[in-house]
Amino acid sequence: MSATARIAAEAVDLSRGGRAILRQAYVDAVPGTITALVGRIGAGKTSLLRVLAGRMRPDRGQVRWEGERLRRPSLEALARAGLALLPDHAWLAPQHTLGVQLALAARVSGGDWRAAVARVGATRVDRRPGDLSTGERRLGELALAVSLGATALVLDEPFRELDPMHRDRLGACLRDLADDGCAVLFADHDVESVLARADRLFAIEEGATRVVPDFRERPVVDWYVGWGRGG
Amino acid sequence: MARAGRSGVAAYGCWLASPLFRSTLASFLLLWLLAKGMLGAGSAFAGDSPLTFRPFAETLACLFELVTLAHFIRRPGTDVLLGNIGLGLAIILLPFAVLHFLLGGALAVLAR
Repeated sequence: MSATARIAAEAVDLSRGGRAILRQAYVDAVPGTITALVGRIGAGKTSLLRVLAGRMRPDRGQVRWEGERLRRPSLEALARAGLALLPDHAWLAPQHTLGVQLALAARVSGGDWRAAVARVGATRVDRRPGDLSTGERRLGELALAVSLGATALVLDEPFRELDPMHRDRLGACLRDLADDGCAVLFADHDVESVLARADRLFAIEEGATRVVPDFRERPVVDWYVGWGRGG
Repeated sequence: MARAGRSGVAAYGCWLASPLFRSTLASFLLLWLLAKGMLGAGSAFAGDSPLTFRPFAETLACLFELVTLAHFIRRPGTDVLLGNIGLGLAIILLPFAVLHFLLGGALAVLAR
């Protein structure tokens, strides 16, 4: 594990239905940096993020928060420590406006949700999540994480289906949060966003991870997400 | 950025005071009425008072309500929102289990 990692999943083995999904996988997020996790569809990215965020129990392996091994990692315990998970599916309460949910988050953390909205550039907080575009909803979700005062962000495919404006806005927000000391980790297929935003790169292939030290060349990232080999 | 490290008790208090809890409570009350109606119909069919408190039947009804409520919370992914706030599903459902038995008991006492 990196000595400075805020959160890390180590030596994770996971199998489902007799099929190995993760094999001794490792990933971490370091304060002040944006870490990307890339891999082909079905390589195990989402499973690894779910294990890291305490949403899935692995067969073997461990999750550490600021170096301390967690006996029974769960999203709620990690969230109380400072993690926010932004999965790839909708997760805001559909029957309430974004503002109501932001206010709840801010009350929990003692933060200011209006400041979070202004910082992220979220709009239409008086609407329900279902009435927002994908980009507006994604920024709203990020505003909620900021309202909670999250010090580590785990995002699954945050740039998927975003228009260029929202993609740029989201990327700039993640950089702003990382510059403020937040540890950001995202998994995505969007090669442009990975190249433009990531400081560090993990690649996952058939459930096994590796650090990619020199990933600034597009063909390198293309290879790991599968575009470079007919995937 | 505000530092996290929040207490679960504070998060729980905020949840209980929020509109999200009130809408969950409304869903629970509808489920409770449905389950109570079914129990009452069964009791009436057996020749008893429909408001009689039967511990075993009440426990089954409570399980039905909690499983359905958990489904209502998990299906749209709201369990992730609550998890991010610092609350697990079990602690979210606990007051509704208590409420089920309080309502059932109160009704049985009133019906005497």
